[in-house]
Amino acid sequence: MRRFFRSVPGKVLLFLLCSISAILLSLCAAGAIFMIEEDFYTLSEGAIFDDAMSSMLRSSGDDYLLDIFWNDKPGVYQFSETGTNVLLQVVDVDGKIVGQSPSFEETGDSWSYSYDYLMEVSRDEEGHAYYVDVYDVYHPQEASIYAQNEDSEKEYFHYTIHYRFKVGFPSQDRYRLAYQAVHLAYGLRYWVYVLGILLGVLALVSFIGLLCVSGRRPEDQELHPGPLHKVPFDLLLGGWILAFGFTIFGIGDVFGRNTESFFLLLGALVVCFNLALGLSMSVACRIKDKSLFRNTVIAWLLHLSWRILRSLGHGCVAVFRGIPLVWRTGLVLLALCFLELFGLALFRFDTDMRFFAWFLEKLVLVPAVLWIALSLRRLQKSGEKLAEGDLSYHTDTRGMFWDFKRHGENLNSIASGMTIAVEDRLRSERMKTELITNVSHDIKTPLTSIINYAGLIGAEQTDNPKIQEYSEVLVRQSERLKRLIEDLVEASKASTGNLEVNLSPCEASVFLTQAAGEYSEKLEKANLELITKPGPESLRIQADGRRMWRIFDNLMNNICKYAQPGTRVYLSLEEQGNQAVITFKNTSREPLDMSEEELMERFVRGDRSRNTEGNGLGLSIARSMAELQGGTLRLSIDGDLFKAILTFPKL
Amino acid sequence: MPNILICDDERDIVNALKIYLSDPDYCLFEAYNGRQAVEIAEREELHLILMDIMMPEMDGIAAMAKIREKSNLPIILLTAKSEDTDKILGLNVGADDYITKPFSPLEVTARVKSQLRRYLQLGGGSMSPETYRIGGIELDDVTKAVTVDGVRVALTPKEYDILKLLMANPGRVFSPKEIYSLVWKEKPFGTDNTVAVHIRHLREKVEIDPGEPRYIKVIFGQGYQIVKGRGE
Repeated sequence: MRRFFRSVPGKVLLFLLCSISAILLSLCAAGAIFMIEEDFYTLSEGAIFDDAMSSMLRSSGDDYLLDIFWNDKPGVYQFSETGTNVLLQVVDVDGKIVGQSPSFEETGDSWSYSYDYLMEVSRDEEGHAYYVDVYDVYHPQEASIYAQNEDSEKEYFHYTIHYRFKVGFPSQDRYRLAYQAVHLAYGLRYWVYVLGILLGVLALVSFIGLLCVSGRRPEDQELHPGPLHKVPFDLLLGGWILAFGFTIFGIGDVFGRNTESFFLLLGALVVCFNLALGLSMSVACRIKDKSLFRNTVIAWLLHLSWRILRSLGHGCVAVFRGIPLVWRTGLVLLALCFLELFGLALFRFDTDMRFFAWFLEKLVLVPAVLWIALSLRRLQKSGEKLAEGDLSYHTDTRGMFWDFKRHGENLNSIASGMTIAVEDRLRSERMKTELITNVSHDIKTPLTSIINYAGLIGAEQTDNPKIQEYSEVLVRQSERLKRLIEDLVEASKASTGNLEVNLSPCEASVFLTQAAGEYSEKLEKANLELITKPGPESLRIQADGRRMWRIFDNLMNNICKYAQPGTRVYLSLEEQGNQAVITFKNTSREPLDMSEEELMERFVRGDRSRNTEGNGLGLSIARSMAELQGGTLRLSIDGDLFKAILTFPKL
Repeated sequence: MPNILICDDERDIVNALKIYLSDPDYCLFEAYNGRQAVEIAEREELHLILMDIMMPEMDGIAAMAKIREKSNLPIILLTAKSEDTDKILGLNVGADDYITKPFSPLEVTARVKSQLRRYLQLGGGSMSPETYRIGGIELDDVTKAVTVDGVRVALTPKEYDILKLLMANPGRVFSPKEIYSLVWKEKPFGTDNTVAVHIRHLREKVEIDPGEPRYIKVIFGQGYQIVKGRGE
């Protein structure tokens, strides 16, 4: 079905169906309009027939009267009855029958009409009639006035004709035709609507079908436009309008209202209609491939002019933007000045207009300046954010133009570049920590064996006392290595912030007493006297006990290792403003010939000869730990006096 | 005779441990991965397992979970990982103790003995109402005797009082001042380190490794508490 309608015969069928049904529909409509005009729906059939007959009969009277006039035979004129259904009797003004059909009297008077006529006879001097004319008379008195007028050169005769019809219209003439036509039309007066609706539906359906199949072929779903498709649509439409206009104004006007011209007009209209149908198919096809507007001369012209305008505009903008910013601003200002001057000159005498122009200028200028200020503000904010280190801030360049937009984009690329750099660094730090963790794990396993077997060697019963000694060295040094590895992992984690910190409020003095307690023996062994000066008990800080212990442990260990034996060691807590300050003070055994900063470095030790125990990570770890908890660790060296100062914000 | 399983993928470590634990009282088994350990645990009646965490085929955590389905024998984890999270994971899954590599022989033997004593003596011996027990520590308030894993330790009266105070309130953190006022029954003057020193001594007597105590914990900056032993 679908395939059939997409084929050529199917399309032709649809086209014919649509065309014919539409033409028939218009005929139906014409018929309906005609019948409404002729009162088919209010009058009876007989009345309509009467109307039709009366006009036909009245207009045929002159023929009959002329027949009688030009007849030479005396007596009553006998009309021929062959080939006509009309029977008639002509009576003159005196009631005398001057002519009649032979069987007039025999016919019933069911259809009978009577009309008055006035015959005008022009005669020459010899009395010969040279011109006879017959007028329809609607008022008999009028006719008699003419007839009695003797001044005129013309003679007037007043006749009355009585018409009747043969029963059953046996002859083939126009009355019979009219009778039949009226009968048929009257019978169909309602059917015309039904037929019209049916035809309308048929026309509509076939029209829609036609639109659907236009450009399609039965074999696939692709669009196969015909050759007409290439022609610009507005040309086609223009051609059609020309044809239609010619039909209406040309044919309709040039020829009079005779039958031939009517049929010519009708034929031209049908042709126009069929062209319109073809045009609609083309429209459908164009809509399907979205080229209805594109493939027109107008669109082509518009496109061309748009391109010309655009490239012109681009060229102007490019030239303008090529000028440096300051010069550009100057140019704009100069142009503005000239414009103002021009306005002043133009409205020299017209105060109102001058005021209006001023107002108009400000109306444009104020938003422009505000817009510039807004853009600047945004850029400024963005710059501030970048300066603060907020690299995630994105400058919103929407609504910015030219230099502002470029500047905003530059800021954005700076931010993203820096973000990438920071991320890279964080990642590499993290990888370093992971590397150290993994390496330390891999070192620990063989180290375990070394420590264990060194111990086993020492436990062996031998005569050689040196074996015992050597194994002790092995064990001691392995232990050092173990501690170094652990410190290394911790230092790298602490410095990269990869350590978990659980802060809770703590009494600062408790740190001091606990540390003092834990280290009392070790200090005694090192021959050091610890003096604790705990500050106010109420002094509380936020700290993580475990991390804090690591700081105290490292610092106290350092004191045990590096303090001059026999001296005093001070551990004190003070409140300084908003800070809780814990100070470790001791006298160094060796002269401290390096700066505080150097001491804090990793792998730097108090003695350059490096012959004491330790790995130089203690202070670095302690500082990182303090910073992780929001505090600081400072060192101060004054001669042999070594001070480590821990500062934490007070709670 | 306690049966001990030593499990580590490093043969040298297994051999070293065998030498340390070469007590005639112990019967030693060895395994080199988690699967073997599980098999031996199913076959033999073991009393203690020393097991590494990082091992091929089946790691220590998985093997321990498997063994724990059937047995509650003490398991000591040997680990080169000193990360807190690893320790916590091991203890949560069911280890009784852990030793970080590299370990010292003395520490291993001490911990093994401690776990064995507790496991073998568990449920033995009646407890008087005046007796406190936390993990391996037992404090009899009548005889004033304190034993750790069944071994008697000698404490000074103050150390004893402090331990009793902590054991009577397991888990509670006492600040040094609180301990001072409760044990010395005096108002603490200023802050001195008497309590801290006593606690340090107490830890040296009670703990295997005073630097990393199992029971008497130092909450730095807050005070001290006693916690139940691992695996309880």
